Amino acid sequence: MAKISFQINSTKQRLVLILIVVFVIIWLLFVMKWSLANSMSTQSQYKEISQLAVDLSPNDPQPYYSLAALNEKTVTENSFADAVLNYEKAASLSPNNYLLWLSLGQARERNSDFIGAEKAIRKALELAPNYSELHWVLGNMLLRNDKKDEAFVEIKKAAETNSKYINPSVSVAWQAFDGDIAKISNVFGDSDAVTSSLAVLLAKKGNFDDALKVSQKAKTLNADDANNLLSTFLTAKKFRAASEINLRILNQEKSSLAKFNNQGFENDVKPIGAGTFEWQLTESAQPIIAVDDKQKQEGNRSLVMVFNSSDGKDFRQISQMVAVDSSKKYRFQSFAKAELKASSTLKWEIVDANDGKLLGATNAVSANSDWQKFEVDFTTQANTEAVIFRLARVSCGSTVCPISGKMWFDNFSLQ
Amino acid sequence: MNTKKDELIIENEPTRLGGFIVVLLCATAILATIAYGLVDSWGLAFLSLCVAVIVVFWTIDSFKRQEFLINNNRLFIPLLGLIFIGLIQLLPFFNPNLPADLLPISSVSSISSDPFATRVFVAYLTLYFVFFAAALTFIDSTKRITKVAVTIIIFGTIMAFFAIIQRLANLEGLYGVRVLNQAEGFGSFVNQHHFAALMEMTVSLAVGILLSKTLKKEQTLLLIFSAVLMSIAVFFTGSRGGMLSFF
Repeated sequence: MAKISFQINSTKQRLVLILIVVFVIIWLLFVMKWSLANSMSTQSQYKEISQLAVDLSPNDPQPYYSLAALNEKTVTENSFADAVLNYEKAASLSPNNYLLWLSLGQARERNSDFIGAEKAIRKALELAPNYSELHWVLGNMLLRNDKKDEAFVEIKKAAETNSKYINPSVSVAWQAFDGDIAKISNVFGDSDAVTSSLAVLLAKKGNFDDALKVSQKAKTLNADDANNLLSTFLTAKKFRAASEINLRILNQEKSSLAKFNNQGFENDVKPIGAGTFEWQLTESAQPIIAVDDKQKQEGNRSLVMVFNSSDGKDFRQISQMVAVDSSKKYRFQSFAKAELKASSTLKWEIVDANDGKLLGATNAVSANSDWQKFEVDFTTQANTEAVIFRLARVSCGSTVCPISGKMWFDNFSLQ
Repeated sequence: MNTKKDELIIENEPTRLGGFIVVLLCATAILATIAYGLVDSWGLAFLSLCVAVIVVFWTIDSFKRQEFLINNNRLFIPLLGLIFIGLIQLLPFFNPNLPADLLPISSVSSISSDPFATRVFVAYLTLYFVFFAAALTFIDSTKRITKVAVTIIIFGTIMAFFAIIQRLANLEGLYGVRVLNQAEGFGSFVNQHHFAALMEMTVSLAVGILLSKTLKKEQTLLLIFSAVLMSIAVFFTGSRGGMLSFF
C-alpha cells in the first residue's frame, strides 16, 4: 500500500506537526461543542440549559429556537418579547428556513406586533408557497386583525390544498359570517368537500333541516362527514334525515321511507356491525339465526330461526328500524312458516323509535304452519320519524316457556 | 517537517501504537453502529472524540517513528473536493438583505442556504477524512486487514442476530428504549434501509473470505452461518432497495 512519508527529525518539523495536530484537535473540540449544544437544545426543558447551548454554539439557530420556544412557555413580563428576540436571532442565522419565520410570526402576534407578524409569516410563505399550514396560519392571523377578505383568500387556499383544513375553515367562516350559509358558500364555493363539511357543521349546530338540504347539494359525501352526519341525526332522533344519509353512505338512490332493508333476506344478515337501518341481531346463543336458501316464500332465501331452549328465557332478538312519515296509517305485512314445539310462539311488535311506545303487534305465529301471511295496521304519532319492528316472545303464562324447532320469515313490507 | 514526498513505502514495520489505532478504528465503527448509526447531533461529538484520540495516537506514533506516514490513496480526492465545496459555500459573499421592518438584526451572509448546516456537514466530512486516512494508513498489512475483516464479520453477525431477535420480539423502539414516531427502524438504526446497507457490506466480507477458499472446514461452516444470518437480516429489514442490491 503506497504511503507518503514526511520526515520529522528536526525541531522545526516537529513544531509544524504539533501545530497541525493542535489545529485539528481545536477544530474537533469546536465540533464537539457545537454538536453537544445542538443536542442539549433539542432535548432541553429548561431555559438555563438552552441558554448554555446558545453560549456554546452562538451560530447555530437551533439553540435560539429552543430558547425562544421555552420563553413562550414561561409566563413572565418579558417572556414573549424574549421569545421574539430569540426567534429573530434564529431567523437571522438561517434566513431560508420557513419554520423559523413561521415561529417568529406567531411569536410576534402573541407579543401584539401584528404588522411584524404578518411580514414574518408572508416571508415564510414566500419560502414555502405550497405549504397549506402557512396559508392557514396567515389566514387566521389576518382574520384576528379584521382583514376578513384577505384572510379568507388564505384560508381558502389552505382548505383547497389540504383536506384537513376544510372542516376548521368552514367552522371559522361560520363564526366570521355569523352562520350565513350563502356567504360561506360564496367564499369556499360549492365543492362536495366543503358542502358536506358545512352540512356536518349545521347538524352539530342543531340546524338539521338546513344540514340535510346542504348535504343534498353534494354529489358525494366523504365517508367521515357522512358518518358524522348520520350519528348526529341519530343522536337528535332525526331518523328520516338519518335514513337519507344512510342511503348516501350505501350509494343507493331509491328512498328508504317506509321500506325494509333486505326485506326478503336475499342478502346475508350481519350478526355484528350491522348499520342502523339494517337487521339487528342481539348477541345470544338462542335461537340460532341464519339465512336459509331451501325455504322461501318469495325470491331465493328466507330467514330461519332454530330454537332449542328448555326454558325459553334466552331469546335472541331480531329487529329493524324503518323511517316512516308522521301521523300516517301503515299496514305491516310479512310471511312466516313454523315447525315448532312450544306452548307459546312469537309475534312482531312495532314501536316508535322516538319514545319506544308500542304502536301495534301482529298475532302470534302458529306453531305449525306452512307459509302464512300475517299483518297488522298501525298509525304513527305526530312526532314519529321511524318505527322499530322487533320479534317478541308471546307469554305462555308461566316463567318457563320451552321452545324448540324451526321458524322461517320472509318478504317483509310496509304499505 | 519535510513537505516533499520522500519515498513510497510498501508495508512499514508495524508498531504497537499502530495496532492500537487499528483497535480504535474498529471500536469507533462498532460503537458508531451501536449508537443509532450516529444520526443524532450528540453522535457527532462522540465521533469527534474518537477521531481526536486517533489523531493523538497517530501523532505519538509519528514522533516515535520520526516520520509522519499517510496513505496517498486517490479516494481522498473526492472527499477533499466535498470539503472544499463546503468551505466555498461558507464564504460570506451573499447577504439576503432583509428589510429592517422584517428583521431588525443583520442576517448571516453565506453562499449556502443554511450556513450552520453546511458547517456541520464540513465537520462530518473532515472527521470521515481523518478516519478514512487513519484506516488506509494503519490497516496496512494482510494480517491487520484479516483481523479487521474478522472483527467486522463477527460484529455484523451479532448485530444481525440481535436485530432479528428484536424484530421477532416486537420490541417497541430501538433496544426497547428509543421509540420511533416517524421512522421504521431496524437493529440499532433509525432507518431500516441503513441497516440493510450495513449487512450488505458485512456479508460481502464474509462471502469474499469464503470464496478465497483459505479456511478450514469448521471455519468455513461458521462463516457460512454468519453469511446466512446476515442475509436473513437483510430480508427482515423489508428494505426493497436493500434486497435488490443484495443480489
